[in-house]
Amino acid sequence: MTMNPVAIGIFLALFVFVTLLGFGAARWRRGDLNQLHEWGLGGRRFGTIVTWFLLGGDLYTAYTFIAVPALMFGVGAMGFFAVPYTILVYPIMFLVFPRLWSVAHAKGYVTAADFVRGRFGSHTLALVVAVTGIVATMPYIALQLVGVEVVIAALGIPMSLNIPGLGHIPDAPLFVAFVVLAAYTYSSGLRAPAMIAVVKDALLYITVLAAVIVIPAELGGYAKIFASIDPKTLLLPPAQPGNIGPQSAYATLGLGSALALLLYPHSVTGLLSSSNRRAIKRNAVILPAYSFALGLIALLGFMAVAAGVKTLPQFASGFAAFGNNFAVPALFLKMFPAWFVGVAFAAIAIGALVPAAIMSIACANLFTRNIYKEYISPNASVERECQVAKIVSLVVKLGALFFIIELPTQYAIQLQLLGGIWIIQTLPSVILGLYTRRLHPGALLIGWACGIGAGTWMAAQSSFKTSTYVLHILGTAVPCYAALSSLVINIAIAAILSLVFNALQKTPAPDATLADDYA
Amino acid sequence: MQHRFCRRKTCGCSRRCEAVPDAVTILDKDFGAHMEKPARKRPFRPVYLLLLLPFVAALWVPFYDRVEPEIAGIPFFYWYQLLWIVLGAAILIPIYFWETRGSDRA
Repeated sequence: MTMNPVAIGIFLALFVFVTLLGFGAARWRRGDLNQLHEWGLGGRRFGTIVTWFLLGGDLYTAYTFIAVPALMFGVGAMGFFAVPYTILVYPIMFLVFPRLWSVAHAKGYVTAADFVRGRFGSHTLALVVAVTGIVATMPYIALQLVGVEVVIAALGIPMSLNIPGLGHIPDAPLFVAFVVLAAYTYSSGLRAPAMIAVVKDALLYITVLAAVIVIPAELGGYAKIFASIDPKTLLLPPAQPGNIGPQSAYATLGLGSALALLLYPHSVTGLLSSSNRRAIKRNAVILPAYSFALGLIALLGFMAVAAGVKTLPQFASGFAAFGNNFAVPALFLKMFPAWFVGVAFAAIAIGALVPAAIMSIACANLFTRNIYKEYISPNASVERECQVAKIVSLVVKLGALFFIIELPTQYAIQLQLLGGIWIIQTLPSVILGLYTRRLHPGALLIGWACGIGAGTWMAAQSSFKTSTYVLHILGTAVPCYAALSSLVINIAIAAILSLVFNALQKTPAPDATLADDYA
Repeated sequence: MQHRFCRRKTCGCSRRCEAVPDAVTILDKDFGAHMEKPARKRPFRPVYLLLLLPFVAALWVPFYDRVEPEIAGIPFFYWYQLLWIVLGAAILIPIYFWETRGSDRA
């Protein structure tokens, strides 16, 4: 690909600007950054607006903005499931998560596993929730790098630099981006992504607005864009007798993804960092602005089809390297002037750094609270606890970097797909646990194990290519998101075994929370 | 008189609480239960049924899996779902105000 000096200049300038912001963020709403709740939750001081930027930057990742239109570009209507998914997230956030905030605030919990530990009095169950969270998040961080990789390549920056004295360094730009990210996350904690998220979102909204106005105008209007889509993929095929087909896959993917999203550690970290429960409720109302942007971005996939980017010779190498993930960058390169390409690509790359930072902080919080302090060094001081978290956040990011450089991207994609199936298995312990203590920790553990096993098995049936598994219900084939069907198994087993275990065990483990803590 | 028995400015069942005429009502079984465990014994509020609407709208795929009616060349399938992003958020607004009226808590 050819170098694009104007675009690269704008891109690098914006990148340097957010780097300075990231380091400066340590001084913002100053707190003692040697305490975990200050470093890892921003002191629980973010109001409605900052939480909006933070969660917006956190939940709507760069990978989403690349992968959703790529899916639309490749398979059509099915890729639009991201929209019902984001419609359903917010009633759940509104209803359920203020309760988690309240109990976490009352008891000083930093992670969802902290809550499970207190609620059910079981450090094993808390460990399982923590490990599930960390394992599900790692490939997610790695995928953020794919977003950065794609735009760097699209800008024409060579992926391996020849540095005098050091020789040939592969993936140097990616390495530089991540070292910078790791450094300011280490020094500023959650304040850094919160501040950078404001810039990222401004760039994102400008890009989306320009894209949905300028590109359709150049392509001859929305009617022409939709007319260029193969009628077979413009809608989902209707249900047939004996097989509901893609419609049920679409609905279950939306519902299952919505249930899973807020269980991810980076979601919990973002939610718990807000200063009051009202901020969470208000955010459930105003965060859908990002969903709307995502819906429009999804349509960029169709615009890329209409613009015919796949057959243009200058993009052949990009599609060869990144597949359909190259559709949106190619569309921008074709339709936008060079300076605006720089802005749009910076939005994507910075959009990868924000969730990557929050995810690594969330993993660090989990490791420190629920593994290090629980099993390794129970008497660690507050400062020591925070020091461990900072180091773990570095290790997590290096792991993700290694992952993406050394292994095929396909592994990260498959693991992230499995991550959704795994993380949803913590729903009974975390979300149902917010409402009832009647579930027995032992039963929850067995339910979790069965859910993980069943979900992984279902995904394995397609060799991890798809997360839907065809159920046969009363002679009708019902394709269903494996996370949802395995969650049903998990809840059923947890509920039935709870009845048995509670009957056998006369004195349940103590519940550290009171009914008042949830209000 | 109102809120006499509650720690909060308004408690979960503010309507009932405000209607308390005198101390005799403290014997009211439901009210008494509420006093002890305000978070658990909240009466069900029908307003929360509104939260089901986005689920019905988004999960009933056969209803919206069609091209007509189009708006500005955008098939129904696409604009219907985009519209529900907005409606889903709008539905939360009356619930939010219903929960927080006259109170400093959400």
